[in-house]
Amino acid sequence: MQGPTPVSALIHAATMVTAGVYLVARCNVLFALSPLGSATVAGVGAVTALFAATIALKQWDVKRVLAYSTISQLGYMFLGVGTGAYAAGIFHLVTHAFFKALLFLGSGSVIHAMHHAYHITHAHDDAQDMRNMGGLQRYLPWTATLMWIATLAIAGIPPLSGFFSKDEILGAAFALGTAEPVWLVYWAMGVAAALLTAFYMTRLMLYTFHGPNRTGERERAHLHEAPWVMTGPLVVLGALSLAGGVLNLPELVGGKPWLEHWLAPVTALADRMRPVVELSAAVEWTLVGGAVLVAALGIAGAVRLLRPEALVPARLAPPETGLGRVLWKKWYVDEIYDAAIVRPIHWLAREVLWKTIDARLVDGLLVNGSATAFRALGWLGSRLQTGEVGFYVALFVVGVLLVVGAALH
Amino acid sequence: MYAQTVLTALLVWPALAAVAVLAAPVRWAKHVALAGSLVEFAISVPLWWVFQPAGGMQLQLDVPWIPGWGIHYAVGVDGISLFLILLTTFLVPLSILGSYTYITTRERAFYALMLVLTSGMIGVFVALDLFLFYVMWDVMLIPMYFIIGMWGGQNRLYAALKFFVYTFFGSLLMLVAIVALVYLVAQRTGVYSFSYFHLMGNVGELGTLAFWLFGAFFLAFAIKVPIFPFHTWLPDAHVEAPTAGSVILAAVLLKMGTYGFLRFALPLFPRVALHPAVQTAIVTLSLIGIIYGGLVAMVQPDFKKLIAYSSVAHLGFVMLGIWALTLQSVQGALMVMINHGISTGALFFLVGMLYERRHTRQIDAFGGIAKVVPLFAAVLTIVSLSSIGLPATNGFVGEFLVLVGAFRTYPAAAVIAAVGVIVAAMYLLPALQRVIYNPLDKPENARLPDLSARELAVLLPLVACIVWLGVYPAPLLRRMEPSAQRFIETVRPAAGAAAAAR
Repeated sequence: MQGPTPVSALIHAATMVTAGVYLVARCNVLFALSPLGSATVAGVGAVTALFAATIALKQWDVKRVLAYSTISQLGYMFLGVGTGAYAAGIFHLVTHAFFKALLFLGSGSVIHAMHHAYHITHAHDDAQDMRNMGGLQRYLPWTATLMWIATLAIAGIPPLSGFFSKDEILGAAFALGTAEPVWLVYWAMGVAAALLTAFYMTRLMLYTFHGPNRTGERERAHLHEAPWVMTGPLVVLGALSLAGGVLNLPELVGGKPWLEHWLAPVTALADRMRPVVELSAAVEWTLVGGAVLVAALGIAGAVRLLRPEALVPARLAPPETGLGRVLWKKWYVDEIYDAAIVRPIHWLAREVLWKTIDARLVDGLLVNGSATAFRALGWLGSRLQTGEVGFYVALFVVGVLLVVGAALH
Repeated sequence: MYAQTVLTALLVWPALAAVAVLAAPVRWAKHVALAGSLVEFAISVPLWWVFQPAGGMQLQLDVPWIPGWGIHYAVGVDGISLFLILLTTFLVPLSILGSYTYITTRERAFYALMLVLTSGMIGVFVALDLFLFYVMWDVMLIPMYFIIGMWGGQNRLYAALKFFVYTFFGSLLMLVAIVALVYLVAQRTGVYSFSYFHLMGNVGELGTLAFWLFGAFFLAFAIKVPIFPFHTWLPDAHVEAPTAGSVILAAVLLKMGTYGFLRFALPLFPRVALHPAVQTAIVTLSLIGIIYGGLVAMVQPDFKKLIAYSSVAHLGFVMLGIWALTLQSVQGALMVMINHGISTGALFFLVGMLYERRHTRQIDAFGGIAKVVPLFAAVLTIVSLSSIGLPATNGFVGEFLVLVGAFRTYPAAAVIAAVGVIVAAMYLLPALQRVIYNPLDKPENARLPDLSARELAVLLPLVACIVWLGVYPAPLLRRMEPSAQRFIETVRPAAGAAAAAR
């Protein structure tokens, strides 16, 4: 997320982070052979989808919202491939690449404008903080429109691309749930995450593009849309986000699941190993309706509950409190890792391994200790060389007595 | 002509060049030394083609030296020693070139000692007579003692003495073992000889004595490698030595220990070496070296010391690879030996270049210098990634082969060793970040000069090797394979017989 925005778009949306999903799908036979392994993948996916979505609710950095959104969507993909719906997982990978790349590049367009404005006035405000934005729709109409398309797509509003792919994953989990209830739990977590997705994405759009502008009096004059070389790719991605669903239209709506057929030879062996659960058309329609309802609820909830006009610029904003703070701090995951793993390992390495074992024990006691011992032995030997004849005679007598004694014995 | 004399030429030429350096005017000393070492490299290069991979021990020369005591001047090369010889002749010119501005006092003596050291190192790798081997083992000790003690840092006398006494202690034990071995074999055969092949062929069953002889060899080599807990001379010696000394120490001298295991300790006493208890102990010590060396490196404030401890970790991989005794793991061990020489050698050069600019090696004294010295930063990044063992760099090839090979023999150990690769990222990446990235917050660093043409000439050959061996190591592996195979075939049956006898 700290990378340059086009890099974020590429690695977060399309390629690098989804490599794990690709690998599970690629190794589908191995995962199909281990139902427990697959269920673990799905469970991790469901938890990730929900967990990351809660974090995205309270982030202020526009790219950070998108980054946690990506983690959440990756959770869906893992839920899909863990369920055995490999085509659905890959389908979501593809549609997600469309709308998330659009969102990242759109946020780049916003940040570009913000940065430019702050640069001209030499202000040091954060160009990525949504509290410094607001009302940008007036200055960046293309970006705003295209990012709304992506938002509706990720939220799961039909007939945009994200609707079809997300629905297929949730449907597959629900179908398995008719046999084993644990899948219903995963499904419910996915639905809850879908609600949150619609909510936090609408929040992002409201705070960035709507309500009053909070960038600053002087800066406002310098806000403007990015050049065509930047918005052009957004238009392409917008079209794909809109219509990407045609890649794999479900038979339920009379479509042709082209992607599923394309992948069928790859997953044929695995498909034969998993139980086939056919849901009735009525149940499927109910699921679809429910999913649309949940998405609409998330969007409407955000519109109704959030007050963009009550926001103040980031440097004036009060600190977060309560649960909001926990979410803003990302459930303290980084802090917990730091305290539970990073610091103990550093302490162990520095205090125990280096300073105690290496410096004191091995080098101090054993290595330099033996050097000291030999020096002490030499010192003792030198003490015997007194230079007094009487002492030497006494030693000589003792020696003779010892030899004679040993001989007689 | 070349085949018969090349090894002797490699052995003798640096010593002659050292005399020339001493005779030359002071301001010419370094140029004469560089020319001499380049000639040495040129002599060694045709070995790459002349060497017959399947030919076993070759290019041999065997003439009586002290016939009355059964001592011969016997030299030869096989796939195990070939690349160590090439590594040596490759790195010595770079070390000399890298010392041009670092060494400013008693230059003639320094460069002459570097060349004498070269003779000693080549001698260790080509000797096929245990007496010759022992002599060469100690010959290289003396110049290194002076290089550390005269041109080293603050604490150089302590470090030089520690290095000398520690290594010499081991080598004397080895001498005792060599003499005892020759005597025991002479009792059986009636032939009094230090010849490697004679001893190998007639060592037979030594009973419990073998344990003691192996122990003496083991100590000598373990100190050199170094294996935990015999490693504490290394951080001192590496840190105090001048750049060229550190490079040669890390790149070549440490490899003498692992080479000793491959050439002598294991083939001569396979039953002891592969006795389950000994095996367990050595594999455990290798793993301790990998993890412990890495963790201790992680908390070093001194960049040079960090690299020194990282050597303990890398050499742990070599030991694991040797003892795992599969073709991949042994070839991997050989590759790690070469790669460590290239990557760690380059790291020591880079730290030395930092030191020449700022007269400090503390990691915290730097930060953000990528903006000031972009070339330096680029090279340091490539070299660090290779030391971590990222794919497409040489470091990956060796460690990967060791891990794959060791997994067949010791699966648990291979898993633990794989964790060591992560530890490598844990110590090098933060150090890299703190030196070249982060904010440029120290005014002293704002005007550092970037790499000079001479410094680039030192570093670029190493970077080229990093990429070459990372992408296409096959030419090396092909030349190593028959010798690695022979090594395994020599060692394993004897061990198998021991297992069957129990």
